[in-house]
Amino acid sequence: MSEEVKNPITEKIESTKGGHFYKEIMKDFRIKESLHGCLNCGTCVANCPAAAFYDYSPREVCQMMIEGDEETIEEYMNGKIWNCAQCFSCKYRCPKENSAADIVMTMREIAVREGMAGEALAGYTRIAKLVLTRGNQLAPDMLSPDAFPDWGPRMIELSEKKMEMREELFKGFPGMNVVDRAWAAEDFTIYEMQKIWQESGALEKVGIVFPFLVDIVQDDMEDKADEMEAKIAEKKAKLAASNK
Amino acid sequence: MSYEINDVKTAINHGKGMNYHVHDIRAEMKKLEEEGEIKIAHIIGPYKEEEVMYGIKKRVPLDMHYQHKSCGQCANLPGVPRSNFYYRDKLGIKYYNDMQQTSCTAWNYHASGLGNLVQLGAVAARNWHRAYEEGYNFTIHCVTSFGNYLEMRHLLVGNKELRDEVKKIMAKLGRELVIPEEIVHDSEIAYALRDKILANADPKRLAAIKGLKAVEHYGCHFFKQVSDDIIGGKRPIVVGGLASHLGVQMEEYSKWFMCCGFGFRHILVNREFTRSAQNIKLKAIKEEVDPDMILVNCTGCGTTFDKTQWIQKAVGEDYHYPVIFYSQLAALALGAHPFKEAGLNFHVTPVEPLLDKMGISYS
Repeated sequence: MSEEVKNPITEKIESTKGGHFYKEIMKDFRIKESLHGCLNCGTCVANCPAAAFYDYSPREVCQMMIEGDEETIEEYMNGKIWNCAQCFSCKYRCPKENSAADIVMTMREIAVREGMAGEALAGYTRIAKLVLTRGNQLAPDMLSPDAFPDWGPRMIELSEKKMEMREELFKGFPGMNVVDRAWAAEDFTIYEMQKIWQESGALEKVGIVFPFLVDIVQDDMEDKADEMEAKIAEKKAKLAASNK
Repeated sequence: MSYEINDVKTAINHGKGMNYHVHDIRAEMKKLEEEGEIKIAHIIGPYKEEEVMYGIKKRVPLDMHYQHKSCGQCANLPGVPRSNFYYRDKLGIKYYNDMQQTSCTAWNYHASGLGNLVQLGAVAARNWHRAYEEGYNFTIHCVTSFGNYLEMRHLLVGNKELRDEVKKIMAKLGRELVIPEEIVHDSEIAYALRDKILANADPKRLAAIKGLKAVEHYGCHFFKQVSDDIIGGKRPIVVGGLASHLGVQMEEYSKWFMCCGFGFRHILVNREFTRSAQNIKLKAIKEEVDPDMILVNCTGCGTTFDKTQWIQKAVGEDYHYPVIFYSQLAALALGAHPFKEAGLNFHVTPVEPLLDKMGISYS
């Protein structure tokens, strides 16, 4: 959709409603694609797995934004947003093509930025660390039977034999038989990923929840910087030559 | 109720001739390319056209596949990427397994809110550029990566401000914003290759597959996040379409649409939700079909279905449905060893009874 497209619903409420969180949410350009009025039909709720088990309603998410209802928005910011399963069933089914899932994602970003996500992200450290230091999000080592006792006795067996099983499966596929990350992304690749997080402001945001992680990433980047920046300079020169 | 693939294909025609506003991102991309705003990574080599929403044709590349791997599959269900490599090896398709690929980081993003759109867009652009500079078509193993890349393409094409931010970062990396002409999930490729897979299949394996009863489940990020560029339109057909082509008897169940309960954060920190959602899905599957297997195309859903059946004993239920990915089924049809080459021994819900029924040795 072109950026010039106007949305009469969000244009109107932008000019009349207030509230800190409401204003922060409305700054995100995705909101104009996520709200097109609401019939209160409840189709989203009927299809929402989170609404089936929690005090959470995608209909309420759309309504609170259309009404500019700061009190309800605060309730969501203070916890309810973390109930959403991000399945986008609401977006798929909505006759007005609203997306409560996208609104919630904007709100989660704001919750992190404003230091409100600490409790929700407790237990999330290992994933964040892996993303920022290894370039991918999961490792066989993380799937220990202690962490997932409800996955049954076969997990114990798998955990004990994973090294030899993976060796057999990935014979002839270098970089795939690793257990401390999903695959063995190269150091240069990890550096590029870290640089993206740094340049985009995302690393700074990580620091609000996990300050120690920023230190780890910055130390890691400093250690490699000379070698990696030389490689990037080579790439830049190659690109400039190919574009001439 | 069993169904044929042509029955669900009627969904594609939804909206044809009804004066809907039909939005095809390819036209916008072409315009931006002409204006010099973006580069497009055009399809290399042969392709097959398949219909998406409103009858728009999606061009599925049939060779030269850059393999954008899935974090969850490689770590947790490694038989899936191995099967993806296997079926390409058997069909003579050239592919590139890149150790300079990063995660798309979208699982992290949807679960935690860490990250932002510029970061997600730049990570996407870096991986796209890797495929481009190596001379391969960008193809994706993971459903969340697929949904994320569809969304990133949509946002980067539609928003100049975001595009400029991402371009700035790409320039600092010595790279460019090169958007793939098509964002294609591996299950769409396997579906497009269904005739070739059938033609190259082991007759004994096909006989073993024929008549097996299955239900399918699609990852939400496959068809709900960005719904208008999926083969089959609003009701995906690729997994059931491939399976029924190979002789599997596909069955409908009432909860096909419902999320598996993975929830991105819930699978890590709140599995009561995951288990409860699974119980609803599994109960419907058992009562309405009682299949030989559940077929999937999504990392998170495959994990959830596979790992959450055993614990249902706690609520008096006894589920035992092997969870098989479309590519593991294709690999089995093509003669793969079920453990050494399709990695089915990494699944927690036992696959051995199914393999016994099929007469496939796994020792």
